[in-house]
Amino acid sequence: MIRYSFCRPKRWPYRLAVRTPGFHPGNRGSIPRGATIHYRLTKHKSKHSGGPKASFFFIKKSSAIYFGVLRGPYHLKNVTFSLHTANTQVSRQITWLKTTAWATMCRMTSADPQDQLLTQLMAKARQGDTKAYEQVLAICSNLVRRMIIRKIADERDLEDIVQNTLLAIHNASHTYNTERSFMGWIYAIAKFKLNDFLKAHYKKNEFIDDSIDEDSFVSDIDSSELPSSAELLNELLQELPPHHRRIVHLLKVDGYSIKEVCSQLNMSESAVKVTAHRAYKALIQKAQKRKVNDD
Amino acid sequence: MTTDDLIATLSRQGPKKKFPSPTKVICIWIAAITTYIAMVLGYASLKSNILQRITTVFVGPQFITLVALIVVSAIAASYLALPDDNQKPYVRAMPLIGIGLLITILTKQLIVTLPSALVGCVSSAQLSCSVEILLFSIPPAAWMFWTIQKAAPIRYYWAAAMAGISSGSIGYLILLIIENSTSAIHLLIFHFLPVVGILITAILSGKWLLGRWIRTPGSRTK
Repeated sequence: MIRYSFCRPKRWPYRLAVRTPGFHPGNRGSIPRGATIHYRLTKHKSKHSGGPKASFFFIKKSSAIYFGVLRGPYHLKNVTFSLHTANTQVSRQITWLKTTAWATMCRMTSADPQDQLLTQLMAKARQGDTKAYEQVLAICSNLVRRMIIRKIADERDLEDIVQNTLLAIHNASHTYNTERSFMGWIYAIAKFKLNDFLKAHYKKNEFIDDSIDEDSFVSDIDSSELPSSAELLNELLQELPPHHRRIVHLLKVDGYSIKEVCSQLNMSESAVKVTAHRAYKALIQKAQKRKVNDD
Repeated sequence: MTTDDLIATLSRQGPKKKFPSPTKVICIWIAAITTYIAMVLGYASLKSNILQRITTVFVGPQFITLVALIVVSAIAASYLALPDDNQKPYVRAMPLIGIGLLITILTKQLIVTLPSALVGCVSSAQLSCSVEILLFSIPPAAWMFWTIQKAAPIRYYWAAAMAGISSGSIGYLILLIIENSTSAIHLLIFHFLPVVGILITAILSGKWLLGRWIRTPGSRTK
């Protein structure tokens, strides 16, 4: 997405800036390397044009901003300028009114090749091309995974967020505006989903810190509450959900440590603790219920 | 379900039909708001001295500020309805300028009135004004919220706030035209505070009303 902003001060020299909106250092949104800017001036009825060495030149300030100074005195009517990259050429004509200081601000089509590709694929997908839509989602899943992999270490959580983001992208597929950056659109959704996950994660961890310490939890349990025979314990274990049963079995029957269980099941330590806690609680409740029924 | 399976399932469904651009949404909203205000004013038998009232020193600036506030907050709401990482933060700040201006106009008028007027105004509480503002703002608010929730707002609290400001201002504007009150205290307590109330209600209901689309199956926010 390239935005051309035009400032026409009351005095010479005229200043012109070409910049990309939403620029983040080292990130998307920058003007591609090797891009060249050409201009064409209309001075009343006669036309003047030239390259960067003429009176109207551009200085590259950063990867996002090109800055140009136009030295007068010209009584300008129109300025047409275009940005050339390897993949695209965008141009825009801006009409100056003699009395206005600020001329105009306008949006252009994307100059980022990947952004362009996604925009084209999305346009095809909207026309009913399912292959193109599949390609869009596949690219999106890679982009989202690359974005969140630095923040989420657990692979299961990572896949969970990627899938949730893909669903959100699909749910919001009608809101993509072809005039805006595709990357900006998907990153907005991905950021939201990531923050949402992290909020929930930290909230859950607060709960764990307060109450789930496996050893203290076990020591709190009254031994009379526990099932007395191994047979009964096995019966009760069978009533647990498979995932809970497996964790209890690994921890208490096979005698693995929490860290070993984490690596075996590819789960985080907190997730194992939470699941074990829930399983113990369920076991006690079931045992108490059984005891009441027997009495 | 693996990610590849999910992609295959979603691609079979295909993308949804394109949502109108913010410019189109704004144009529709403004046209609808104008029609709505005209209908309400027509129903409330428009007073003949309306032009005279609007051009007064106190009502005129309020009228202009409210119209600007309605338009600006509607524009902000339409942009906030769409997810975009490159969205400028000033989009959200623009309506706050309008609110600040409105408060300034009312406060300026308030300074010249006597403090005793406050006691008189509060003692003769005219809650009917607040109720009317609330009633007038419900239809535009419902419509705006309906349109926004059809899109995909990421900043749903902000989007809801903008819709709340816009619809609350519509109620304020209608009552400003219908009612003949020139008391700044009355306007501040019984007209402006309900708008603030609408704004707070809109913000509080933002997540519930506008955050539905993001709650995908299996989401932790569910």
